Amino acid sequence: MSPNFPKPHLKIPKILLLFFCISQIVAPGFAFELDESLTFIWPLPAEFSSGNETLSVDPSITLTVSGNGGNSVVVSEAFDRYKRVIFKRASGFSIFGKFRGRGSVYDISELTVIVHSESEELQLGVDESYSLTVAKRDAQSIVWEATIEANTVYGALRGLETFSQLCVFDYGTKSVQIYKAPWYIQDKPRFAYRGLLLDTSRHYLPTEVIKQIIESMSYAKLNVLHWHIIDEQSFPLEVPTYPNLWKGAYSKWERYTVEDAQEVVSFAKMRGINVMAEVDVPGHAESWGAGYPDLWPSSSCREPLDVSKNFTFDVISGILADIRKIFPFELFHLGGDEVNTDCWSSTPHVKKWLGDHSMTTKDAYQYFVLRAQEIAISQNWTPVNWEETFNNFAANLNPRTVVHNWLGPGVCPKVVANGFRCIFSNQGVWYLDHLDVHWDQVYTAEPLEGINDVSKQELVLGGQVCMWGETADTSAVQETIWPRAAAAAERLWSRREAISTGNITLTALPRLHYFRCLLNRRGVQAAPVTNKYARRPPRGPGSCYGQ
Amino acid sequence: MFICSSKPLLKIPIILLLSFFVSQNVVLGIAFDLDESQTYIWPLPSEFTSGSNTLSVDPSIVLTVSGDGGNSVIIKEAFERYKRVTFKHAAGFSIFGKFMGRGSVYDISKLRVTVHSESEELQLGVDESYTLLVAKSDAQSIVGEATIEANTVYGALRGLETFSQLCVFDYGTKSVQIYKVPWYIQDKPRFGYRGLLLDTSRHYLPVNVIKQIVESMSYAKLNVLHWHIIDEQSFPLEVPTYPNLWKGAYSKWERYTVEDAQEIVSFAKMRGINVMAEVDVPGHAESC
Repeated sequence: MSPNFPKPHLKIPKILLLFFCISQIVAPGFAFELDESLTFIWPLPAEFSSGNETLSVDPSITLTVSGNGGNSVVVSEAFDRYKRVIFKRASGFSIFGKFRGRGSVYDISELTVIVHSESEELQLGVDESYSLTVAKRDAQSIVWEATIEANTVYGALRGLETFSQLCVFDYGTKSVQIYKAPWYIQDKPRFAYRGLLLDTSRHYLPTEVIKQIIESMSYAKLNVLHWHIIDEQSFPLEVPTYPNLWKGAYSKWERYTVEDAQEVVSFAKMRGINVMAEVDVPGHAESWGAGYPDLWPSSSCREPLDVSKNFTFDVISGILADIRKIFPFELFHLGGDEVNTDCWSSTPHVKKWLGDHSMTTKDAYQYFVLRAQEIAISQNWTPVNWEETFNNFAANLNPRTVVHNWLGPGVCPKVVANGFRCIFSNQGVWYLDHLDVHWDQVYTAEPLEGINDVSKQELVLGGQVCMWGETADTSAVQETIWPRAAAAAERLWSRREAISTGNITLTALPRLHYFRCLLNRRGVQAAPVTNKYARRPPRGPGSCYGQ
Repeated sequence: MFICSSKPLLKIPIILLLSFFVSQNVVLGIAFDLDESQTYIWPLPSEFTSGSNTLSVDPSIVLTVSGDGGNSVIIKEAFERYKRVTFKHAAGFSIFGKFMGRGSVYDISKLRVTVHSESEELQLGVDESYTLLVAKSDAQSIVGEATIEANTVYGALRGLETFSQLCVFDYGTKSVQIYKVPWYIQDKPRFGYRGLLLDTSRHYLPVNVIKQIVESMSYAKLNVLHWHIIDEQSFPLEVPTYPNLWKGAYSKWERYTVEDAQEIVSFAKMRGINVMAEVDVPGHAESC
C-alpha cells in the first residue's frame, strides 16, 4: 500500500523528486509554526494593534446587543452561525475523564455587538466599517471583554468574521483561545465593490452549491455576487412573463425557479452580499431561442439577438421586469461583450432593417445596447456593461453606465478619465478560469494602477474575480475559486500601502497558507496555494500549511 | 466569456474540438430525458416493481412510526435530514402569485415507518433489509400511502434513502413528485461489508470534511468507513495514554482529539455506518 503519486504534470528531474520525498520523510513533526510577527487575519484589517496575552473563550459565549440596529436578525443569525464555526468541537462529555468546558473559567464569556443604525438597506457603498476590541475593561480590571461596534449590521457582520478568525482551537488545552490580546481593530474596506462572478450557464450550479459559495465569500469579506445566469449554452432561469425561455436549460432539472433565485438573494443578504444579476445582450444569448426561435436572426445564424424585431426588446423588457422583483441591488449587468454582428449583415431581413434605418452593424450594436440600457434604467437600475461598449461608443454610452473592464490592463484609467465608473477584472490576472495565473499575480494586481488623480480614483468602484464556467462545474468550482479569490479579496479590502510593500513571500504567503487551511477546516475545498496551476491536487503527502 | 486561453493540457486536433463545440451549440435546449425503462435508484434494489402513475408529495409530510424500534431517535433524525434533502425548494411565499404548497392537495402526506426490533446495535451483518411501498390509497387498496418496514433501524435508514431517491422536484408544477407509482420494493444488501477507506495521515482531513464524506456514503448505502488514521507521514490522533504520539501530526492543528473521533463515530452510527479504525503496524508507522 505504498502511496500512489499521480503523474506530475510538470517535468521534475527525478533527483529533485527524490530530495522532496526524503525531506518529507525525514522531517516528521511540526514543520509549521505561526510567525509571531504576522497577523493571521485575512483580509488584513485597516488598522490594528495587538499584545502578547492569550485568552480563553467560553463555548457557551452569549451575545449582548445594543444600539438601534442591535436587535437585527441579521446580527443574531450571524452570531449563531459563527458560534458553530468557532466551536466546532462542542464541549461535552468525554469518556476520557472529566467534563471539558463546563465549570471552567473563561476569559471571554460574552460578545457585545453595538449597531448604531437600524437600517438593513444593502446597496453599493453601505457602511461596512467596524471596530473590534478584545481588551480588559480597564487598567485595574482582570475582566476581559470582546466588543464589536459598527454603524450598520453589515459592518457588524465584517466584525464577526474577523472575531471568528481570532478564535483558534488549542489542542493542548482543548479550548478556543485568542492569541496576542489585547486587540484594537478599526477596519473598513478600501473598495465598496468586491466581487466574484459565477457562471451558471456553461454549467448549472445547484442552489445549494451557490449558497456554499456565498458563505465562503463572506469568510473573505467579498460583498458582490455577479450572477452571470444566462449565456449561449443554456438558459436556466424561470421567467414567468416568457415561460418558454427556460426551455433553453440543459435539462428540465438544471433550472432555477424564481423561488430559487429569491432564496439565493436573501441568503446573500444575511451575509451582507449583494447579488448583481447579468442578462448579457445582444451577444452570448443563443439559448434564448430554444423557447422563442424568433429571437434568432435565423435558425442557422443564431447570435446576436435579432436587432430588427420589437419582439426582441419585448422579451428583454419582460425578463427585466420579472427579475427586478427578485434582485434589489441597484446595479444590473447588461453584458454587451464579444458581439459578432455577422448574422445581422448576412440575414436578409436584418440586413434590410439596417438599410432602412441607415445603420451599420456597429451602429446597430450601439443602438441595441443603449435601448437595453433604457429598459434597465426604467426599472430603476444602474446599468453595468462590459468594456467593449465603452471602447466602441463611449461618447454615446449612458453617463450612468458602470464600465466593467476585462480585456486587459490599462482600461480603468481611460474609463475614469471619461467620467465613467469602473470595475476592474483584467482577465490577465483576475479570471479564475485562467488556471496558469499564480496567487502572487492575483495579489499584486492593482485596480488603481495608472490612476493618480484622487477624484478619478473614486470612480473605480472596485474589482471582481471571475469564475467562468466552461470548465468549472459543481465538482471543480470551489477548488478553482479558492484560494486565489482570497488574494483578490485582500487587494480589494486592505489598505494599499500595507499590501504593496515588502516581500509578499514573507508577508502574505504564510498568511494565505493559513487562510487556505482555515477555509478547508470550514469545509471549503480550497486548493493548494503554491502549485503552478490552479486546482491541481497536492503532489504528495504533506501539511496543509506547506502546500 | 470566450473559452479561456490557458494552454490545453491535452493536444486535441482542432477539427475534433470544432466538431465538439458545434455539436454543443447545435443541440440547444433540453437534451437529457429519463429513459423510462431504467430504474433511477442507486444502488439498484434487489426486488422491485413499479407502475406508471405519478403522485405528488406534501412538503409538510409527517412521520408516523410503529414497531418496537419505531421511536428511535435515529429514525426521527434521519426523517428530518431526508426531508431537508427532498424539499430543498421550500414551499413558501412566491412574490409571483399564489402560495405554492399551502392549501394544495397532495397524494402523499404521511410516511409510515415500522421497525420491528428496538435494538440499535450496529455490528457486522446487522439486518439492513427493508420494504418500501408507495401507492395511492383508494377504496380498493388496503395499502397506506408510503410505508417503510424493516427489522432494524438501519434497514429503515436504507429505506429512507431509497424513498428520497424516488422523490423528484418537478419544475413544471413546482412540487415534489414520485413517478412510476405504485412501487413495491423489497431490498437488502448482497454483502455485509461495503466500505470506503479514508487516509488522514498523508493529508489531514478536517472533521467537517470527514462528516461530509460519511453523509455522502449514506447516499450510496456504503456502510463501513475504514479510517486509516495514521501512517508514516503523520500521526494526527490523540492517544491519552501516550500523549506525545500526536507530536507526529503535521502541525498542532492538524489533529483529532478523542472527542473529534467520538463525534465521527456517532455521526456515522446515525447513518448506519460502522467505523473501522486502522493502526497499521509494524510498517507505515514512522510518524510514531
